[in-house]
Amino acid sequence: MLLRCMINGEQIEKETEPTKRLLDFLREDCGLTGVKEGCSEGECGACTVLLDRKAVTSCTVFAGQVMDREITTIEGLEQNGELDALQKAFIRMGAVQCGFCTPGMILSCKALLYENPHPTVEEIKRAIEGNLCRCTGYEKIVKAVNAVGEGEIK
Amino acid sequence: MSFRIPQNLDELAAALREKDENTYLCAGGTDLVIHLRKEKKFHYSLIDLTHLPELSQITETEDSVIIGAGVTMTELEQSPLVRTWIPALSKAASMVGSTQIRNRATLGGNVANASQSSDTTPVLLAYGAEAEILDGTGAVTKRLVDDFVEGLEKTTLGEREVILKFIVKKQHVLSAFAKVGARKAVTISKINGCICTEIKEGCMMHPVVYLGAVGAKAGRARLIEACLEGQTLSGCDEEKIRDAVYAQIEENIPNRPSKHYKKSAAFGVIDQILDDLRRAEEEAGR
Amino acid sequence: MDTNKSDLKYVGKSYIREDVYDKARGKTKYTCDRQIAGMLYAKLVLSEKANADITIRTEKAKQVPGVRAVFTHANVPKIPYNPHNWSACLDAPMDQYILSEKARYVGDHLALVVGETKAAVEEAVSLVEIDYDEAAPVIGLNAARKTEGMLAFEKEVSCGDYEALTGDGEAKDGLIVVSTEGSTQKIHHSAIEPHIALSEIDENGNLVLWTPCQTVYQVRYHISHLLGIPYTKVRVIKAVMGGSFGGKGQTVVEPACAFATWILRCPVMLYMDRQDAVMGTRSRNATETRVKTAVTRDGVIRGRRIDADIDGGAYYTNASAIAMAYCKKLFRMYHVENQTCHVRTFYTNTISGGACRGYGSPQAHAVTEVNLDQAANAIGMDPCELRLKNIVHPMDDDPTGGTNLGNARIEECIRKGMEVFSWKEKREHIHEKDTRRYAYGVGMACGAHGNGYKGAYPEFTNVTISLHPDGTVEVQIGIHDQGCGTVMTMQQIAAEALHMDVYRIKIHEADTFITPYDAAGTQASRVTYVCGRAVQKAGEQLLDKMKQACVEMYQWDQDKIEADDGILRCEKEEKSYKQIALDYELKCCRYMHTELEYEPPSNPGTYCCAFAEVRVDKYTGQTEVLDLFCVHDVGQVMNRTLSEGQVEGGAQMSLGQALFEEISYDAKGRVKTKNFSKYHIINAPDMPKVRSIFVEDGEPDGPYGGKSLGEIAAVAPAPAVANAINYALGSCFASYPITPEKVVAYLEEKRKEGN
Repeated sequence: MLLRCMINGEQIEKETEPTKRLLDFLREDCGLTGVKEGCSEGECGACTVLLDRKAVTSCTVFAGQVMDREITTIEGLEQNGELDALQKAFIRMGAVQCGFCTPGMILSCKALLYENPHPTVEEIKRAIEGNLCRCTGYEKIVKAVNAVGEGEIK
Repeated sequence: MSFRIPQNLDELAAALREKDENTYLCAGGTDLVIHLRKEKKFHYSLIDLTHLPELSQITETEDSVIIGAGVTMTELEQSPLVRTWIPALSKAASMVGSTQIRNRATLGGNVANASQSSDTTPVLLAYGAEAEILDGTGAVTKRLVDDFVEGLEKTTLGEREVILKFIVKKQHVLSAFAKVGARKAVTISKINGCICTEIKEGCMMHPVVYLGAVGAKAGRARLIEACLEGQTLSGCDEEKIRDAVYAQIEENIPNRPSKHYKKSAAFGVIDQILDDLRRAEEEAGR
Repeated sequence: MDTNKSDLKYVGKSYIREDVYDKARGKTKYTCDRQIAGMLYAKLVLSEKANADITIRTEKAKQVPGVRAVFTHANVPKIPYNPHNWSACLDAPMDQYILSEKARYVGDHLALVVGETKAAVEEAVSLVEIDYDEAAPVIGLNAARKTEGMLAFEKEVSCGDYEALTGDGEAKDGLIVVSTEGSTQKIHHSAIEPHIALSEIDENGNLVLWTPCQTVYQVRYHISHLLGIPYTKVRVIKAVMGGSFGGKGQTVVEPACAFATWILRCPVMLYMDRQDAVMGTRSRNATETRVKTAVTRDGVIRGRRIDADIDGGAYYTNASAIAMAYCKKLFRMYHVENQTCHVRTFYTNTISGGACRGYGSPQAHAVTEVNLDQAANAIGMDPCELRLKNIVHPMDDDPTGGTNLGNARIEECIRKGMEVFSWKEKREHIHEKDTRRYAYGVGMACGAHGNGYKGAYPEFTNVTISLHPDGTVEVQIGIHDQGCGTVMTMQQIAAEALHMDVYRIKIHEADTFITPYDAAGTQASRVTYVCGRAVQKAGEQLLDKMKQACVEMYQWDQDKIEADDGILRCEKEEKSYKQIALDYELKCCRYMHTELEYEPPSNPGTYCCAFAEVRVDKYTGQTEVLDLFCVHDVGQVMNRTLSEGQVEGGAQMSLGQALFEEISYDAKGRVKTKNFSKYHIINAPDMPKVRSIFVEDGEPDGPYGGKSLGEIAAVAPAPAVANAINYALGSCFASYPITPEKVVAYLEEKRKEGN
């Protein structure tokens, strides 16, 4: 199928197998390897991407379903070489350890901030409830998002 | 292997007509992808349900709230209409899976997958919801949700039928939903419940109580209903309710080892629901 | 200590790690992101039965388009190995093959499918037909004890004479004997990156393998041993690692990957999915413990006996090592004159045991720490006071002849924790928060861990450090950053030794062609203490050499040379490191570098205590941890942000042990918790705020006084939570995880008694 969609701000048309997972389409067809696979059933959140600005697990979406939709992956957050505030905050505040959950984690938080620019700690925790992290205990991740929400990091 | 993306109901009916056993209807995909992996299916066809505007709206008529089958859990949680008229459904939707899953999972999918732990089904049953169902001929029929959901991943929906929308009558009732899983969030219900009740002079009148995950499908909890009938929200007799809940679970799953835990947990669910109803009543009174 | 703490310019500061920039941008190439032209994919076929003879038919699988090979035991070398042995000089029994000849647990590696695409491989895996001729499996310790031939290892370690103290079960001298039984569960490491390896044959005919592992030299040994390739032709490169926690610590998928490459002469990526990782790798060993503590009425522990049985799983792996690790820690926590620890490891038809963050400590302290609270209860003493009365002190000896405990500051940890947590006040008033539905409690627990292998196994490392003519410094040492920031820690240590910018120092991670040999890899809490100290010494050695060169080249007075931020000064003259390196090569005809072989003189204890507040829902049985406060005796913090990160992450794992996590098996040995939908690690909503304090009194042989932290961080929170729950409910839970079902069963029993 000729799949037509917007990926990281760029309109693309690609011949692909629409019954494959969006995860595989992004990683294999588009080379967007920032999308990670950790559990293959929507439980760990490592494969989180934004679909029409909402966080979804790309391992539970079929590629064909994003026809005419808009996808953002971690690779699409930088604007003209400048990192997104969330990326800066994660870097500065020790929110990244092994980094495997990081792209999905940041995207879940990005979706939250689109809807709710000044979230409470509880709201942050809810936004990342589907993103498992074994390294950080979530503490510094929550702090990093909070710093962005409070405008401390732009 | 084919992938159809119907854009309107005619195209959907056409796709249904050609649907074979190896073709799956796919809404959010959150259950289907896992199912296909588990069944080790590698070659299949799909009919996408996420490009149909008719399925993705929440509207109202004078006497009903109409929810498209493709409405997501997130949309249910946030919809002012649902919050006003079916607060328990909004609550149930808010407790399904994770944020990412709620952004994709649909009401139609949750009902049609007919898991015994479905969080939205007990609410729809408590409200006596109906569904509009489309078949391959393009005909639309109306059926009670209770009539086609069997539980344990089974429904009586035909191979070429698809749920289009749910119709919930506007009722002057309070409702609440609660669940207990293995943890606070992102958890499959070990037990869930919904109470939908009229309140007259502070007393519960004709309460409808459904419990989920204690049987093939969510079931009406008549023993609990009888116990709550006429009781005030502020002055419930805790021990009486506990006895009724325990008796209800015993009746539902007498032979399951999990009943010992579920009795107490179900009591926790009912206690939580009554607490939420109390708060809702206070807010309504203000 | 060599350096006054206040003089530290680099160590202890929160430098930002260099790897996190690309990680936050999604640019980092993990093994799964690598692509090599002509690369094939491979996946293991895991056993679905726990104990069976097998016949495998591969014809259907081979017919899937794109499938290049399906291997079984018939194809692999008939050479056994033990993935636990990290060096050829270790001798734990070798009892497994690259692919097994028989199914010994659900998850056993029975076949390997190799194909051109993942889709082809996945389909072919499902088409490998295995006939199982089943025998009754042995699942769990109870069954193992009843079955002949399942004992893998047994040992008794003791000091004094516990039996003489208590006679025939009758306590003497007015001693009170308090018994506790409990257990810990099998735990999946849950690194978010599942196991993976990638190998190819390079232009010189070497086998090159990238793996997110903890010991490249161990992987090299196993590949060489199994495939008959000389060490010199096996290049193992530590890849960026998406978490390990011990799970990637022993060789897991590497031999099968290397085998496929060697046979097919193609690059191969062997990947696992989550289910494979849960079922078919290694787990934290489950244990059952009975502990008896003989305590005087005024709180002196006169004796203790611990009997522990350990579930070793289907293969020998760490059967002896885990038992000894479990034992030893119990002699290094409290000063107990008469103590016996009797440990046995059993084979079962379940996943084999392996390294897992804390290695024996999370099990050893899980039940004994609950027992101590029960002992405190029995004599009416505050649990902290009881511990303070019996705790080890700095420079105490190990009563069993192990290494000296070093600057053991557990007393300070407990006292600080009590103060900051407001222990006494909370303990006294917590029940005032109780409601009809919720019970509140506070509890605490302690933990001990080590700093390397000194005293047990060969313990040494090698460092090469070079100053380049552009002023940058390159350090070659066999370390493996597991994601916790080991590289930055080493940069800071080197910077401190060399008085230069952290970011101008490059630390290579382990690569058997690049980094010098290291005895044991990144495990056993040895990296900061052993490798860090080696880097410090090598850095100091290089600086001395630079100063010496300045004396020769510029005729400086050696005693007057000072180093500061990449510059050497002597009175009014100064030279940049860059200049010195350039001049040295030109004038002295040598390159500015040095080498060091380092063997640590000691292996002190590392200590911690945790304080927890919980709320237990008496209806649903769910426990919520409201507050967690951890105090760690770390000698010296290396990087404050990273240290906090270790404590917070360790707490996540330990709380999971306390409340949620368990690889559980049914009677037939089938895994009930194959994925994160059933195997619950703690997610953000269930994670309490974790507060951490560090006691920094300096460990004499540690780098700038530092010692281990990452592993011990996963020890004390679990028993602290158990004690808090027990204080909330009046219960005696010592079997982990303390699930809602267990809590409700206890409360229902109590309710019935009440009626």
